[in-house]
Amino acid sequence: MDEAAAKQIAGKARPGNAVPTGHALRGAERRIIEISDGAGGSGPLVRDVRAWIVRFAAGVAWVELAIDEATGNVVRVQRSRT
Amino acid sequence: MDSEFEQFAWKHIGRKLAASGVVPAASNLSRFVSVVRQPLPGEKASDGAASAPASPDEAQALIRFTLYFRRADMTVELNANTGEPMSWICSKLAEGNAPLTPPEALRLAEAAAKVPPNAVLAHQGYEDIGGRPVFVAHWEHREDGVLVERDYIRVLVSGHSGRVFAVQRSWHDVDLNPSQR
Repeated sequence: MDEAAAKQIAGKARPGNAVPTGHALRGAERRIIEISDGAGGSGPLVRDVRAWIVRFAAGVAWVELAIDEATGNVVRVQRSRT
Repeated sequence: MDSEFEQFAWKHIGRKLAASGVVPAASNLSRFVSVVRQPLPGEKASDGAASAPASPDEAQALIRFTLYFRRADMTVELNANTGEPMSWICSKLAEGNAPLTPPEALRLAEAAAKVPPNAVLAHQGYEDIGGRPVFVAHWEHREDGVLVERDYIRVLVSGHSGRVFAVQRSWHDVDLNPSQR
């Protein structure tokens, strides 16, 4: 998956992930992130994921969608508190 | 027996100090001095009481011990799962007067950081922290150039003492398979 494809997937995922319509696409960056897959025997199972972090913002407010590079799924949503 | 010996040692030290005109509070003494009994030749290290006098009648007994004096507070964080050090800081090491040039400070920081192969030096240089010159070296974790989120190593070298006085380390081996961490 290249940057353009990640941005396209993130754009389509905006409504389902409550990205405000006023937020503009600001950029994308590849990162390796930790994702929790649920509980294991004595704690949550965690794995690393190669993902595109696509950022939408308006002023100081922002939302980041992490798109799994392998599956194209949104695996994490982070947003500013403002 | 060892605690009795500690009490004896502290009392003895207290008497010596009193004789020299210093009267320390007993609680302070145990805070600043620790007494650690050492094994005698042929004595098991973990069995300190083995050759202890059996009764007060045994007027003389050879005891070897080490006195440790408190020099500074040090905070150390350990990973509860692995036991690996995550950070340490000792402000006492920032005191002194032996400043280093940035390249010298970086060499010192690299040695303290035990820089892993995938670490990339993101920034380095002297900064003013709390009114003091501190050399900061910060490494990121990158796999094939891709940033590993939340992994970093940060080393602080005092601009006064020329010594490393703090190391912070958040690092893990990238694993695409689920596991408990």
